[in-house]
Formats: sequence, C-alpha cells, structure tokens
Amino acid sequence: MKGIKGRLVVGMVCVVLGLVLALQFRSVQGNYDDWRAPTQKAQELAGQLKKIRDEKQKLLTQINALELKKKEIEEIESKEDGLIKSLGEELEKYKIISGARSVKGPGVVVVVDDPPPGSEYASDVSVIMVNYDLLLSLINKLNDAGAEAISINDQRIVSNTAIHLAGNNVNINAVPTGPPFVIKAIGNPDTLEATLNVRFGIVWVMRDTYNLQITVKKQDEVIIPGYNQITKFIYAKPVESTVQ
Amino acid sequence: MKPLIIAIIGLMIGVVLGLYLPITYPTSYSLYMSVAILAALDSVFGGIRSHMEGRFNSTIFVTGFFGNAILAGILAYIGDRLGVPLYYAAIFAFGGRLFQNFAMIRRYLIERISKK
Repeated sequence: MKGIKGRLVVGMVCVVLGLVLALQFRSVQGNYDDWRAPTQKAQELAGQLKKIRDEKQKLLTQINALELKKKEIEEIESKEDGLIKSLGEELEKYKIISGARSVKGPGVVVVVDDPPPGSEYASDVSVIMVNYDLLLSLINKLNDAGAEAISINDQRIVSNTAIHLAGNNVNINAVPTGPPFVIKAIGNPDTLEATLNVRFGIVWVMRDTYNLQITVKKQDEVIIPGYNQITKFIYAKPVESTVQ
Repeated sequence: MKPLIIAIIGLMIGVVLGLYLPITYPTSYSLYMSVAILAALDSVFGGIRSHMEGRFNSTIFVTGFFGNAILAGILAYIGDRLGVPLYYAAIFAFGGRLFQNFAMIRRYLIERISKK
C-alpha cells in the first residue's frame, strides 16, 4: 500500500516538475523571439547591417558615376545648341538655389558633440540628440547671418529638410545620423563666426547650459554636398497671379 | 527501478502538458520560476538519492519539493524588492546540493554495477 502511494506521489511530483519546466522553456523562448535577442541573433543582425551598408556604399558610388555621366552628356548637348546651353545655365542656377548642386566656398565648420564621457556632465542619453532642436536653432542663426548653403553630417539643408529624433538616431532628410554633428556653412566666414560666437548666443547656450563640446572654425574652402533626394509636389500647384 | 520509470513517464506527461496547455505567466516572473525550478530539480535528485539509500519517505519528498520551490521563489522575490540579489543564495545552495546529490547517485550506481 505504502509503496504504491509513494510511487503515485513521485509520479505526480514529476508531472508538476515537467509542467513547470516546459512552461519556463516556453516563456524564455518567447522572450528571445520578442526583444531579448541572444548574442547569436545580435551577431546575425550586425552581419546583415554590414552587408546592407556595403550595398549602400556601392549604390552611392553608382549614383556618383551616373551623375557624372549625365553632366557630361549635358555639356556635350549644350555645346551643340545655344538654346540648350542657356537652358542649362538656367537649370544650374535653380539647382544651386534649391540645393541640388554640390557647392564650395569660404565658410565655417561647426562640430557639436556630447559632453566627454567621464566628465561630470556625462549622461546615459545623448544630450545633443535629445535636444536636437538646438541644431535647428543653429541653422536658423546661420541663415540669419547670410549662409548660402548649410549641411549637417553631409546632409544638405533644403527648404523641406526635417530634423527629428527617431529612436537611436537623429534623422536629417530622413537619413539617420548621430553625434558628432558636423555643420558646414558657406558664407562670409567672419560674419558667420561672429553671429555664432556672440555673447549669450547659440554657441554660448550650447556650451554653458547643455555642456556640449562645440568648436567653430573658419575655413577658406568648405565643400557642401547637394541634396540628392527627389522632391515631389503632389498637393502644391502653381498659381497664375501677378497681384501681390 | 520502477520508481525511476514512473518518474520519467511523469516528466514526459508534464512536459507535453506544459507545451500544449495554454497556460502563461508574466515574463517578469521568469527569474523566480527559474530559481523555483532549480530547487525542485534539487528535490528530485535528493529523492532519487534517498531512494537508493533505502530511506525514501514520500512525505518528506513532497514537502521538500514544494517547500523548497516556493521558498526559493519567495526568496528571489523578496531579494528583488530589497535590492539584494538573494536568488544567488538559492542558486548556490541548491546548485551545490544538486551536484552533491548527483555525485552520490553516481557513486551508488557504480557500486551497484561493480557488485554484479
């Protein structure tokens, strides 16, 4: 009697143990699928990222090559025909205005970075990325000082450029970037620098209030890349009106 | 050898039930569950050992199984509330005993085989 009872009890206990084991297994497995990726998965993702980055680099060089080719063709065409030549010049003018052309000239280079790690102001979150509106403010000041072309981390600032925080990146022209932010501006270097460095100005605020590392350098030649995305006007239509 | 077969059959039934029954618990309890499982495993090995020593008592076994598991889970939970990683205590205690029990079981098995 006692033996049978004992065995029954052992069996029941083992059922319970198996049940709990299976539940735990299922729960842990679910965790891995959801968000707590094990190292293997992380490595896999890193590999994929590298592959896609290489691909992107390849495509970028392809874009550059094709653009050169396009320019060559345009030049050949314009040599043949006076009308096309004047049209080409007009096109170039508007490209520069809209920011589609890469441009160079004297200006300033501003480098903004988070407080150095280990300093008393260092924090877990990136200060400049959380306060990305400082970048907008900086651009505003540069435009105020007569900057003719501005880029942040080689993303040209055009009329419809948006800068916003998206997860672990700051998206500029929908391209994810991160600190350090290198802001290039073409214009009168002295005016630009003076506007930025004015007492209680934007650089002062960023340095003293937010403890960011920021340097402003005047340069004789700054190269600013063009805006290479396509702007489509779906809703806005031109209005034929001369009354203002 | 019959209790061992019963134990294995019980385990299999339990695993199948666990895998197919729609029971879930919050993932935040995963840690406490894992410590409780460790305690339960220790109890099972202890049970096998005592069976081999011929002094197996089902009451002690059952109370040890559930008591240790619940105690370990509660200990881990309290440790979390207090900010002290108390579950380490459970892991070291039960983990150490698990190996000890296993070593004894192995010794008895080898002795039994070499006697034959």
